[in-house]
Amino acid sequence: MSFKNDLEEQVYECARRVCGDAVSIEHNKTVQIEDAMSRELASFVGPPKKEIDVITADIADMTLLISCKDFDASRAEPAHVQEWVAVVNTMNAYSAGTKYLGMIVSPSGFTSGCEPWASAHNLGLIPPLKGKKLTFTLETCLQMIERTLKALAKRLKFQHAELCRAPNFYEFVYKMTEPFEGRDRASVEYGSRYTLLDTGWMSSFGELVRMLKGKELLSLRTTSAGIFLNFADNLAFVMLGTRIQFGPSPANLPGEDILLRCEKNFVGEPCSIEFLKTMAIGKQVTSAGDWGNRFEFGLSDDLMLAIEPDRLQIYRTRNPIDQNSL
Amino acid sequence: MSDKPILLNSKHEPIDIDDLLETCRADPDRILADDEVGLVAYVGDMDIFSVSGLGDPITGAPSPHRDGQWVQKVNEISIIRFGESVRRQIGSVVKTLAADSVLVIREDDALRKVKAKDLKPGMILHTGEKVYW
Repeated sequence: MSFKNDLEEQVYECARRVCGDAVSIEHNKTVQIEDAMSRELASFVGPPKKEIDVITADIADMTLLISCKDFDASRAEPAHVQEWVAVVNTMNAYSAGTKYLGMIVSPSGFTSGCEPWASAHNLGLIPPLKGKKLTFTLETCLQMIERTLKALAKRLKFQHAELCRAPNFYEFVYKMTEPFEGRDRASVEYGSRYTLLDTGWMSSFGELVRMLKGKELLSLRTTSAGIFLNFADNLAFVMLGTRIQFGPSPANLPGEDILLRCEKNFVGEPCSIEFLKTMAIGKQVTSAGDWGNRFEFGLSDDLMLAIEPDRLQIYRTRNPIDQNSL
Repeated sequence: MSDKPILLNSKHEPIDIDDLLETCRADPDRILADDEVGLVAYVGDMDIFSVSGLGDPITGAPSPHRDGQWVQKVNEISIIRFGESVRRQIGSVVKTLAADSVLVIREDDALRKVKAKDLKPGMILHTGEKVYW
């Protein structure tokens, strides 16, 4: 099998992962309408044809026609969308029963004039046009395609006649792809600091707070692998070096038990881990803060539990500090 | 749909979105996506509605429903894990919308798309609902 460029190959492989053998690619494919018995077509010599490069994916009773635009730095323009509009509309207009949906993949993006054409003629655009200059990596664009195709395969198992009416398929693709902007922004902001325990998905400070706020701290353990906090509702917080994982408690905690430096009060007086546990366990999370190398849980009764890879600290936040020592 | 919408069942009784999602999970095909980016569930055939105002969005006439609520059918529920959100009062309902949600407004004799974060007081959605703040 030959491909015109890397983009085409990767989009094809991506579609194959979702749709299996129902995906094919053809270069200079002669697209020929199915029903050539209309009077307005009589001037053509035989059925009208057009040569295109297309990745075809048969999903349920629909055929998705995907056009790949690899323009390096420049973005796809309305003419490129209009061409695909003409192809998909013609295929549908003279179809003998097959229903076609169209999609254009242009990792370098689309100029703003593309949206009205795509929206009015129901073409899906990847990446989405969001009214501002956004750039997505090829990797993210491929993730968008995979997400959209998987969702479409499921969506087509339900009543779906309305997807063929503009702009419903355009909006379906938009909805499936537009949240990647936030995901990519969070990736830049947090890197790999936050991940979910059960899925390994990238996460964020905000999601951690939403999940753990109000939960009671049930236990605290320090091992050679990291620091483990268990909360009510079978939730856990794990600090592994600079990385933080949270979510459903893991069945097994890695590493050997170790003693970590524990301190109390704002000035950092040494204390035992038993003392620290006595103060913190049973309290609910009321707030949280991330200081880069130090994560803090605000606990009920104005306590602050600070967690660093090699140190734990607990102190009371009431003023005056010297009269509220632990 | 944005996250945390006010949802109603076919009898126009409020339902909890978490309960609805559990129902959807029982039929995996309804979960169109559930990944690092977020969750999208198809509910188009489940007679799920969202509250959109107290009167007809265009004429202001009272709702034909006994409870007086004006509702719109919901096709998909989308929960975005990394989106910014904004609060807006649209019609008589205060909604939490993803900042990037696209809404269609009336502008003279035409329609125009705007993002939720760009909604301004006084704008009228194509459904007739007014943006208050």
